[in-house]
Amino acid sequence: MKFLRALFNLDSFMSTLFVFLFLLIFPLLFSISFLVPFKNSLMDFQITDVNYQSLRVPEDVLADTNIVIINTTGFSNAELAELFVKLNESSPAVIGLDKILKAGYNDSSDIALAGELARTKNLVMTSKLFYNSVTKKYDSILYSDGLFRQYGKCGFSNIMLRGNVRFETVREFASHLEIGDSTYFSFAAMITMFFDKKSFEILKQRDNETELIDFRGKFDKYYYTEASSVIKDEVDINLFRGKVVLLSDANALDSNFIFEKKFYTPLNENTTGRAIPDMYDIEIQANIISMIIQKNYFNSISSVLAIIIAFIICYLNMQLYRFMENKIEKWYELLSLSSFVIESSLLLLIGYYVYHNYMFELKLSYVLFTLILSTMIFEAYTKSIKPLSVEFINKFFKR
Amino acid sequence: MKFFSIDNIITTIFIILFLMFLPIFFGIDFLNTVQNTVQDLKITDMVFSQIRDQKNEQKDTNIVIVNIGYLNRAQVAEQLNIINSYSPKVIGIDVMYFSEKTPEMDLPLADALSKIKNLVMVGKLESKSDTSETFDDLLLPAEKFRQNAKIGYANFILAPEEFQTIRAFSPKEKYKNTLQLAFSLQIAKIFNSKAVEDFLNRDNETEIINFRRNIDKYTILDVDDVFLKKDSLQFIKDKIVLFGFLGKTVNTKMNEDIFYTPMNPQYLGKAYPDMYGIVVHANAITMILHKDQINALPDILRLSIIGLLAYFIMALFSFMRIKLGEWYESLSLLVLLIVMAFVLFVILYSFYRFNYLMEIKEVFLVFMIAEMVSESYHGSIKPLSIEGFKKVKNKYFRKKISGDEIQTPKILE
Repeated sequence: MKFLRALFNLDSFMSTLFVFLFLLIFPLLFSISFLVPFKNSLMDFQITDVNYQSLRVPEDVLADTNIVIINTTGFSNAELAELFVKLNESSPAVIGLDKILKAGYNDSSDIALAGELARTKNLVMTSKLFYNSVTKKYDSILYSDGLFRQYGKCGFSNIMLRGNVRFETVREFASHLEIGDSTYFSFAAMITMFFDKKSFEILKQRDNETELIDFRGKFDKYYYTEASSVIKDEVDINLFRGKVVLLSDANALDSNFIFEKKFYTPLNENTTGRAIPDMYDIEIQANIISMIIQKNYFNSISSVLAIIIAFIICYLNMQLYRFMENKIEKWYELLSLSSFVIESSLLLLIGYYVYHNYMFELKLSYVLFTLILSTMIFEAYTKSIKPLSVEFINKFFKR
Repeated sequence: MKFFSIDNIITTIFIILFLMFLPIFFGIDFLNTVQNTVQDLKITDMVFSQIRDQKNEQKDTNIVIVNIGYLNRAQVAEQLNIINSYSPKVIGIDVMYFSEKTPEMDLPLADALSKIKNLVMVGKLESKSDTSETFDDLLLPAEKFRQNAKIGYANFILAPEEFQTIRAFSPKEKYKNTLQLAFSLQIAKIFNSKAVEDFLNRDNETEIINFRRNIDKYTILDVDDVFLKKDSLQFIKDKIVLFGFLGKTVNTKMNEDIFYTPMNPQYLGKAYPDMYGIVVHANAITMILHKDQINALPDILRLSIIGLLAYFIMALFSFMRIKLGEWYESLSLLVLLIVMAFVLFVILYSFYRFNYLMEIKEVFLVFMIAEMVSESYHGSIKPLSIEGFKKVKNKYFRKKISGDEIQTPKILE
């Protein structure tokens, strides 16, 4: 009983509550329009990105030989038909076409392409979901022309960004979305369904709204070739046998690209601050497919649990401060500062270690933010808010 | 309570030491990312990017920009001939024609260039090392192209820590005992020599570009426009015409000859670069012609202001600590926020209203750690030091209670 009484202290509890109250109110400050870019930049920051920058050695990450990316930039439907002739000869396990195909009026090249698509054994075609910013839901979908679509399964290839903010780093993907009564699977999920049914089932069973992407690398971690080289027989088509073949307008060798075609990922050399987008949509899809096939999933604690843990750690800190202030008053200021530095360093190290070695995200940002505020709020509460409140109550209610 | 006190001086010194050692702290590998963001941030970028009303900015009708896209030399020659037929005041070409190609490509271009009355072409100053302050080489257009041209170097100032962000340029540089002018100055000089003379008389080594306009505030002729509208370009007469790259077409933003500027709507963090090189030159020309230069605090004054504000905030905390009693802890944070908001307002307003740049972002770091330093000093460091000092004094310099006679220090016994 004595122990429990010592463990619970109203001042520490109230100080902790104030910390969380402050954390709720603080972001409102950044809602002033000219500070919004500042807020966006802060929100995009993730301490775990350091995993890719400092802890992983890119050379040690093996290439995924299951996946071949073919650049089809500038290819007409007629040229695509030629390409499919070659690909169908080589019997790939599945072909993923990351391109919305349009048909002209009674165009012979369209008929030729449709014929080749019909011959393709396992074909996945991309679709694009459209987000309605008023209803805050995806409410419409764009497919390739029906002439082509009938020969393949469709999967949405949207890169999910919070509020569709284009300058945000891509870290996760949605494997499926419920729209109305229907379930739509992503492009990557549909491809794995053909390539490795068991891996697809595991993804389905996880039933997570979103999954963190385990980035293997850029083009250099997959087979990459130009579509023109395939047509000209400059590439041995046996390379495609039994593989996942992805077709997309993505020229890995051209440094002069259109910005809208690329995204920011944690592999970017500059994880914060100014940066040029670093990965094509199809590179991200290849990473997702590779991750599903290899079953390299990140797990993480739920946000609710992370907040509860943050609350408990913050409370224990308040108790520590209270102890220091009561027992070693003169040392309090120095020790509280030191404990903040030591605790945050330890938390960062543990966070990095667990993320890197066990692919587990501890979501320590909440704890870190509470630690940053805890000393300041503790002092404000115990030395100011509490005595002033007591004084106020005595003055007005206990006259 | 004195404004000048030893406590305030010591705490200010602590803060200055902290600022001096901060770069070492951020040198730790995983904190590098934070450093990048802090270095990227310039407070006055908020004015360029968010506060100035860019939509209502007047269009500069003196300048016309022609996009050469991916045209070859012969096609650019065609563009030049069409534009030149309308007698512009000056044509500036921001394309590095340093090497020769086939005669079919080069001859039409050389011919077109030779017919231009006032022609400015870009050169490029080069140094052997990144740290060198003098230039070892000036790259020039091939001889057959530059017969009729004045040369202005196209170099911008790109600080290595500011990822492709252009803020300033150097108006003039010495190269082998000759004075070279920047591309923008060479063009402006032909258009209005008095304005350039005044600009050079400022005698600044570097000038901050007062960015006000992107492509929507200049007349733009896209790749095909020159050919499609070749009979209706009378508005070009007596204008400055700049040739440069604005993407495959002006509607596609490509990763070539493009930069971040303070006008970027996302002034901090990730964003696409927002301005092509030729538009940066156009902004510099507009600034010179409109005499719309930016004045900046000299470094010594900048550092003095940071030091004084650091002292002021420490003195304010000392004052509040004594005068406010129980209110101190609650109000100190509020007061700090008010002071920060006030300083931010002064910085932004002086730039917005008077084009006066006070880049003192370090002050906000000072404010952020001020309370912590003040409390650590007054709550721990000072009392512990006094206690330690007393112990030493009592041990080695103990006085007799009765008074005058000083006991011999033990250490000397």
